[in-house]
Amino acid sequence: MDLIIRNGRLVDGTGLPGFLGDLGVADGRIVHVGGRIPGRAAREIDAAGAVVAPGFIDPHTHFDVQLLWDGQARPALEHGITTVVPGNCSLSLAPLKAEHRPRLVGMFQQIEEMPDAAFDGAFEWTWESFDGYLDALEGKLGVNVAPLAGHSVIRLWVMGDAATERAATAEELTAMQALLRQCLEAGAIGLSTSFVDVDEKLQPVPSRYAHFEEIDALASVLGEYGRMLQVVPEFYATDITLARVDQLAELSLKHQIPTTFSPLFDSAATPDNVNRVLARVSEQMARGARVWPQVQTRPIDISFTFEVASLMFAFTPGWYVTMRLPREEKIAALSNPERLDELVDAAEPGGNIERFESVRVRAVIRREDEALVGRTLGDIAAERGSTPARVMVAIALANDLQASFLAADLGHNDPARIGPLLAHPMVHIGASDGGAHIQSFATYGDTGYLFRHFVRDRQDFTLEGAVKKITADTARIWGITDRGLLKPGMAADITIFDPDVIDRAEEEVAHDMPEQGMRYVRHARGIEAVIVNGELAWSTQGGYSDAHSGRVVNA
Amino acid sequence: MTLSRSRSFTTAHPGEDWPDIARRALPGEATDAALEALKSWNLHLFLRQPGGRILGSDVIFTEAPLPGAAGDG
Repeated sequence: MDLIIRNGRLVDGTGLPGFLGDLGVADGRIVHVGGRIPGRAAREIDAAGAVVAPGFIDPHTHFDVQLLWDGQARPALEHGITTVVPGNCSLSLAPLKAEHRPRLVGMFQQIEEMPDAAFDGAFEWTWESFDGYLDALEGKLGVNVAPLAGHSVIRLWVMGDAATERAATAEELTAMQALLRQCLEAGAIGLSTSFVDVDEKLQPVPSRYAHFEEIDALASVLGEYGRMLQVVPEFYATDITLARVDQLAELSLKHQIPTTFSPLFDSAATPDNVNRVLARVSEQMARGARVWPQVQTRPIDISFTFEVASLMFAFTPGWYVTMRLPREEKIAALSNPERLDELVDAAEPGGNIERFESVRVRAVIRREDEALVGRTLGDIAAERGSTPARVMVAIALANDLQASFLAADLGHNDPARIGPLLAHPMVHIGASDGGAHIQSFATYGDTGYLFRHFVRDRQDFTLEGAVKKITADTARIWGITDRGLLKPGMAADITIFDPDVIDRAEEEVAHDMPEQGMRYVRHARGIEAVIVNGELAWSTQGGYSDAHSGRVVNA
Repeated sequence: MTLSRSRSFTTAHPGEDWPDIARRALPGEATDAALEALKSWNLHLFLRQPGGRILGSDVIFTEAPLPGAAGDG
């Protein structure tokens, strides 16, 4: 045996009560679960006092680019995530013709907030086809990857510039179907599309130009393989989301495919949203459709500086365009009184200061501003006889654009509502957005947050119920047949953690993107070891190992 | 399993504009009146830039919000 994990509490992913015992691994597979295993293995781990669970699966990520230089998808792996699904929201790095790379980079920068350097020198574009991209990942992976093919890039491949101009012709539809078929044959776990996303010019991404007939034609190809369709619906509008649920149900029933939409948010501004959507999902599920709403565990927080065009500025093109200016031009624009008046008017229409009033100063570089840290912009504005938007700009300029701000609890933040929602049998826990929005918030640690708040604090789940939701349930929803359970024959993806400690740590700034690019991260608490296909990938004592045992997995 | 009634919608067929959709979705209505009705039910399309542009994937409502629905929030 290659590995024996001894004396752990085996929480096997079925949801049944955990039990003490040993677990054995050979050749990357689980070979023994429970009881005492005699003899010795090449590696042994004493898991006394810890939970031994299947590795967690994150079904909504954008690690597509990061995986090319960081096959461990740091820090997701150290949170116990052993399988990630990249390629969401209609965007994947393949299939992609060389001539379309700049367009894709623009879309990725918009959605992932990846710095230019991530695309310029951090890796070599060696592929156009989907299997070429998977080849580029070969030997680099520390986590398993179940990649989606993006509708927008498929459309771009077949239609070129017309992808953002018009409907597809019959010939183009056939070509898109053939291209999707190639992706699925190469290992794509499904197709992603988006009804919401925009590119760096704030124009709709190509998938939004597709008529329903096109999505139906592509779903018919998914039906040949029984694979997933992922969509981003207009989550901010309940009636439209309900229409999307009906569309997905129609496609699911017609083509016998699983579908998932993400995100489904709860918000005090739309208190009926979740109940209405889940009621419709329940009706459609009762008909035999598979329409899985993905719900994230964490509240919506946005951290931002004036150095980048954060999501926080997407509320108005004026702010967003200003934030995308080169640094000196941006400073000049923000220092121009007339331009500033325009921005403030857009942010605080009619003197309504709500948008930035509760935003807090998170960090400054100027010593004389240190007393501002932790205070709200509303409070500072009242003291200065100004407005929150104006003081925010003033603080940013005074700190060479390097002051950072935190807009906390923007929504999805009432535990009494979120706990039961996550535990709903028709809710698919996901929507982490891992690897995306990296300069707006940390998308890592949602699983730790689940255990801390909804198992330990509120008890919306049993420990076993929470493990099942993010392992076996996820694998079943996505049709991944050899992961998600501790069972002989299954792949040895295993997370060992302290159930009394597991959590996400505080959000912090890291400069670990290419060219020292910045992002927000959260490290893990309470995770003791993470095993991917039988190899120790991360541990408390040793950190990240040099094992590259991750694989491409599909349905 | 019978589905409960939900707000009716359509999507544009390739090449359709608003008058085409008005004639198809609201037959029997005068085109101008049908257009006004569609506009009032689809502010999400008319409030964006450029207002009224139809994308192939857009949901287009063909009736007002149902009674009892908590708005289009």
